[in-house]
Amino acid sequence: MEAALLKRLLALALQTGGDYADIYIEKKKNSGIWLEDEQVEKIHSGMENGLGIRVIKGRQTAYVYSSDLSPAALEKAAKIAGQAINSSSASRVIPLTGLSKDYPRLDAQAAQPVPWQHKIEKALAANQAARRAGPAVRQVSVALADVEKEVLFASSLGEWVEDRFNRIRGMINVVASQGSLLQTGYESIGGVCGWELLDEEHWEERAYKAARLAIDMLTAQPAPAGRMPVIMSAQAGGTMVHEACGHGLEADLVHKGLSVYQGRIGQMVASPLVTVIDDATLLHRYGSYRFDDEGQAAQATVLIEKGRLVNYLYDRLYAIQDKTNSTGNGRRESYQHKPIPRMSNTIIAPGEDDPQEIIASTDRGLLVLKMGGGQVNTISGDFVFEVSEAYMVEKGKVSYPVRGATLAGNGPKALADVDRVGCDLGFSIGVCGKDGQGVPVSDAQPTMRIKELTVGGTQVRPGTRR
Amino acid sequence: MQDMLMKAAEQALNYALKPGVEAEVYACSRRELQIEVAQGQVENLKEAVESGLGIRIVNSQRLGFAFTSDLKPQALKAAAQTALETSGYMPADAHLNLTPGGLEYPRLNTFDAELDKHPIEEKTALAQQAENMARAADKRISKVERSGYEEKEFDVLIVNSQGVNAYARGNYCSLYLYALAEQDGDAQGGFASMSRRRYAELNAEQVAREAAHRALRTLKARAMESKRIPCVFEPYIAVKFLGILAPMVNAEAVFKGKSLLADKVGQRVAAEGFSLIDDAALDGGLATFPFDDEGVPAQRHVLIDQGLLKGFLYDNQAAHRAGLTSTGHARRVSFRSLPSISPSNLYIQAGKVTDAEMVGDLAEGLYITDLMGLHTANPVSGDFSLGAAGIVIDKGRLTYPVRGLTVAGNMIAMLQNIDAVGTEVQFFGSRGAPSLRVASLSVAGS
Repeated sequence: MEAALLKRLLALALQTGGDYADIYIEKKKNSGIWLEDEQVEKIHSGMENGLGIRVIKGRQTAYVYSSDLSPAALEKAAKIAGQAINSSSASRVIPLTGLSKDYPRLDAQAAQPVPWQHKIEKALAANQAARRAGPAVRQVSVALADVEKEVLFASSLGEWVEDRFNRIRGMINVVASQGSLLQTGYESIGGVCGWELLDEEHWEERAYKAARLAIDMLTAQPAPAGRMPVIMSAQAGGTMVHEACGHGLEADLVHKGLSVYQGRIGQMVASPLVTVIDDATLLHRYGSYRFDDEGQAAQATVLIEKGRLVNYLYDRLYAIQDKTNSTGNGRRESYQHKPIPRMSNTIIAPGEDDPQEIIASTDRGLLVLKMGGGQVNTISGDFVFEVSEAYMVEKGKVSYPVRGATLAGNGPKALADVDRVGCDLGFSIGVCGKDGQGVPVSDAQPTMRIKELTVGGTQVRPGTRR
Repeated sequence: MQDMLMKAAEQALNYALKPGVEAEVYACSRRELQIEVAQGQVENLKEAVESGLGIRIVNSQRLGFAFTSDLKPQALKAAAQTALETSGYMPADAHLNLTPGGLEYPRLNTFDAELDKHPIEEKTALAQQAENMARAADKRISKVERSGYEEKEFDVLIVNSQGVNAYARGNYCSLYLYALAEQDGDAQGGFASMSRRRYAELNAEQVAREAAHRALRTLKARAMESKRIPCVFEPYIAVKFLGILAPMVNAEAVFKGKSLLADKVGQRVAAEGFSLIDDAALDGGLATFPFDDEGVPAQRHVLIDQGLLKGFLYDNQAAHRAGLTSTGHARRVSFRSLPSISPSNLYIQAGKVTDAEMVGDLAEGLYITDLMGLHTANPVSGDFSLGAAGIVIDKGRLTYPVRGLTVAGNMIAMLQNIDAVGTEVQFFGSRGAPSLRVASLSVAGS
């Protein structure tokens, strides 16, 4: 797109006196394969282009989007966005001087398009790998999806950036059964990169692992209920950091008084062993980007440093309101949404302990190897997670597997109770939902021990209902 | 708009048609406006335009699909090729079929030309009025969290290789408001919305009054002890049960063994006064449209007639499998997706008992004003256990509010236990119900 047209659109958007205007253009190609019962169940493919124009004045936001990228349609959209703001004099647009170049590189473009045949073979290979795990495997579902995306951002501050990248995601869900007992195992991979991700992440081994998990959990005992030490293995991934503190550090929630972390900058909010970083610049990670969805360069932001709260996750709008800088966390699901503060790749930094030694030094507790979904009340900080794979630790040794456990706790309390932090690091991926928008994220943590969490077991006490 | 969609759809269809291939193009253009005001000021304004099409093909019994928002020939050709190519990897399904041509579509009032003639300032003023009225409704209304106006307009065109050529447009508008009431340290929210096919029928005062009423009536709620008592559901709550009932009458769910109504056609599944109707041609209905998303004409179907189960909702594929014809219930989320079975205007038919009689007849009961967690109800067993709040009925009168309750039961048992059906159906979106009374339900309190 030409600089002259972009500038004209921004000027139209600001002709009624807005403080700021920006343009986001997106062109994407999606493909998806869904395999179930050993055959392809669904193939989904499509392309979509669109543009969103935003005008901000004070507390007012106007957002107009269109899937028509013809210059006439774009000018109409810009005018409509401007009409929402009612002031007599036009505001100035700083000239776009040229494409900005100084953004982190992510090596995120596929070398060449991958044919359907290859994608389907990969889905079938995962199915076969999972079924090799044993006859207890009843059902295997495999999903593989990728998007090829071009984005452009320009603003009335003279910013103009463009990028092109691929994002891949793969999921395997396995159901194993024995008698009337059903257990599931799940693995997923994802990254901002090409299809080489499948090899990097050992795709077929992951499928086998999902099946093994489902089978192993068939012989697991119901989880005990009560308060006990919990060791979260690095391979459990970072659901904990995402829910227990990530959401509460998003500037919009802080600003609206919906976060337990409001007004606590400079205070200790976690154990001195805990450092939390949000880093969008990591190579091939699912939440990575070169610049956020409002043109800010991606960065690594330290949120909690050795237990002390040092920063929040900012987009432009809330950075202006708090008179600080955006941390490059303004993200949107698509051109149909306006940006809001979101996480990217959120990490609890590795410490110095040997992960094996952390287990060996635990007299009795729960070792979590895989987490399920979670939910948090950001106002109180209370969270709950499902655990999909866990073992009891007794006298420093890993003993029997347990199933159906949930973990409940409070974010700041749990992070303050971290007493051991391993030197390893494990990632997990997901699509994080907020305000009706889903964005890809990854989360990571080292093996760490929390002195005490409430483990909710599944054993139903006699006399209770439901 | 019709010409633009028609041109693109015909081009796409031609690109997709190869020997042995049947093809269908669903093209849609959508416009949306949303205005949210707070403290009298416009805080958010959103205006959206989007068009696109989806190409669905049946290539020797194999399904192919691709969509594009770019309607230029090159993009249409690429989409058609993708649909053809991917169909080669799909398993054969003998039940795939497209709608035959030559069908008659009913003439329905789905487009209000007046809507576009009213300027945005007037629509903003409507949301502002609602905000002011809610605030003025009672001194305990402390805040209006948001007050909004929304309108949607859509053009839909379906063509296929069997000769279907269906085009229609529709629009509707809505007001919604969320108010907060406070008294003696207790704060409660109340939400109300109103959606209409005709702009002139929007009523800001009614929305404001309802939202304020819902917030105020739950203030200073008490606890209640557990007991089995008669429960009255106002229409706003009764429609929520349609969310559990709708998947049970879906032929796809029936086929997959996921509906407990599967083998009950012709049997009594609800009390005698209970009738469930789906009517895609209902005048003024939010889902009213001359054809479904496969081009099957709008129809009216009685699903439960005076307690007897009559049948299910079908699209072309499910109907073929069952040896029937489609009931016109194929729906798409957008041009980006394949159709699947979904109700149109689904409602419980009006009965004979007035709302006053329904409460007046009871020595003791609970008037339910809120239900939470309906998505957790088990669609296969019909069991539900829901969070609830309500107003205690004592000697035929509504008395004080109660909350922190759970209401548990089974959908089918509850339907058979309905002993009064209200005289006035109210619609919320495309779902409607009168007030309902259930002879007894297990309510757990403190």
